[in-house]
Amino acid sequence: MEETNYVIECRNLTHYYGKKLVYENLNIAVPEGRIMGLLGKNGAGKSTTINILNGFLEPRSGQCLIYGEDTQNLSPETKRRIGYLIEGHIQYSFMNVHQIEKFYSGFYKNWKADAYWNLINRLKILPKQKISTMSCGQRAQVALGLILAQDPDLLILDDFSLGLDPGYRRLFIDYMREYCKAKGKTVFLTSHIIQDMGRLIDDVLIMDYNRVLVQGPVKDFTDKFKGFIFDLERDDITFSDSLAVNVEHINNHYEFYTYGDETEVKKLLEAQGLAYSNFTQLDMTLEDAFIGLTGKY
Amino acid sequence: MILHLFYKEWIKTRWAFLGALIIGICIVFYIFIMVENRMTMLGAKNYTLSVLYDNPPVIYYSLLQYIPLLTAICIGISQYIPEVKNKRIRLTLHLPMNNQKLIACMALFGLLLITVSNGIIFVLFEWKNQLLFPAEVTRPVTVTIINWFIASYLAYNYIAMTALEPNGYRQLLYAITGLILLSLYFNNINFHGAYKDSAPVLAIIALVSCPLVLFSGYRLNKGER
Repeated sequence: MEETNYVIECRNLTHYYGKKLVYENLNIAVPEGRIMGLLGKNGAGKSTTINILNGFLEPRSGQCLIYGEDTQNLSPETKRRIGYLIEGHIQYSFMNVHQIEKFYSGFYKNWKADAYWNLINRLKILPKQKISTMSCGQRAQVALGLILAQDPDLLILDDFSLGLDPGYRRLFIDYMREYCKAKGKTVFLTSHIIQDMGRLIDDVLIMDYNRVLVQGPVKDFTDKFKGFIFDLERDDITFSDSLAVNVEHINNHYEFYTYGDETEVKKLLEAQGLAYSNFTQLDMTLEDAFIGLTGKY
Repeated sequence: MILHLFYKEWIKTRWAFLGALIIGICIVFYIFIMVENRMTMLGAKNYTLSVLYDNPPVIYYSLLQYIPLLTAICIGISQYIPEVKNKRIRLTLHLPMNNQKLIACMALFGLLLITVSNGIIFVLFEWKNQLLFPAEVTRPVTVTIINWFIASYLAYNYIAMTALEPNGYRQLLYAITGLILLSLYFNNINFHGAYKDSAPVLAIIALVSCPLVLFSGYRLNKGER
């Protein structure tokens, strides 16, 4: 049996900000060549995880390894293998398009300037244009171009969708997917915009406050996790059964999210003596499933 | 790699450096234009005697006092504010170099720029000073102005340390400590050769402050809050 190579391994990660628990005993494993998305609401611990992975934050306990090295002491050789996209596509805004390419090229042995310029030339911007004068979408292209030129083995993308309009987001996702799959790159990304994410990621890690809700292939999650809508006669029903992962309602119109199937849900309603009508299974995207799982609030 | 890092630092600091340097050069020329005017009016010998013996003394070079400090502030701010704004320093710390070495190289670059600026202004000042005054004047004046140049290094080190410090309270503490220490270098000058006795201590304080930025860099890297 072939042994799985994990590019990222986090073991029993626990972190607090002061006395506030972020998460406890979090375990993450990202296999080589996979694209894992860490999804969660604001404040769920996404950026904390990215900061620990990049060595910008020391966890209270536990350990994260990238290519077998503790992220708190990454060697320059390992850092060279990691492409990092900072939240909001932040780059050195005081540089222009030409200067930034010249600057980074000195740090990476296998720098592929063509990959950068190919992307930049599509933007219809001049080499002397400063990054500070660019739109968020253009900055995203510059940041992406720099990562492609670096040609890293692992890409860590922190909330890459932030500030991108739908067109640029789709472009970014499709380009990234194509590039990573063609070259066998491993990706670990976070996003709080789940729309389109199903097109990009292979595996999903969904975090809520202090805990992991789901970890595994996206397909497994979207196949197993289901949503049903139905109307009840009353609007004050609560479900304590473990079948009900999340139930929300507006007046007597209920949304019921579960890992069970239609029969089990109907049985539960009948067991509680609830008369239902307009019972329908929802056709859910990853975003629908995420909201169903984590709740709207 | 270090040259490429210096390239980034140069892009950030070049206008601040050149601006401060031009102001410094203009101030030196202004000081000596004023000196030459006085010498023309009073006679060179009379003016030199008044510089030596008047009470309170004629501190014709007092305008130079804050020029090295201004240079350090301009370079420090232009170098570190763009890094800490939007947490851009993370891009720098992600570069394939040892993090402490990265911070040390950044600080070294800033100190080198200050040295270049200080060197130009100092040499220019000394050249004009020695052209116009005898050694009885120039020697004690040099002792006095050297401390102002040394103060610029202390100021830069504290700006760097404060900017990179992740905790707001500590930033305030560092800023206050820095200001108190800096005030030692800018006491009232009531004789030529002021700071003659304290100069070695002031130089040591500035020297000791050089590695402080590494401490802030270490705390930043650990994610201290």
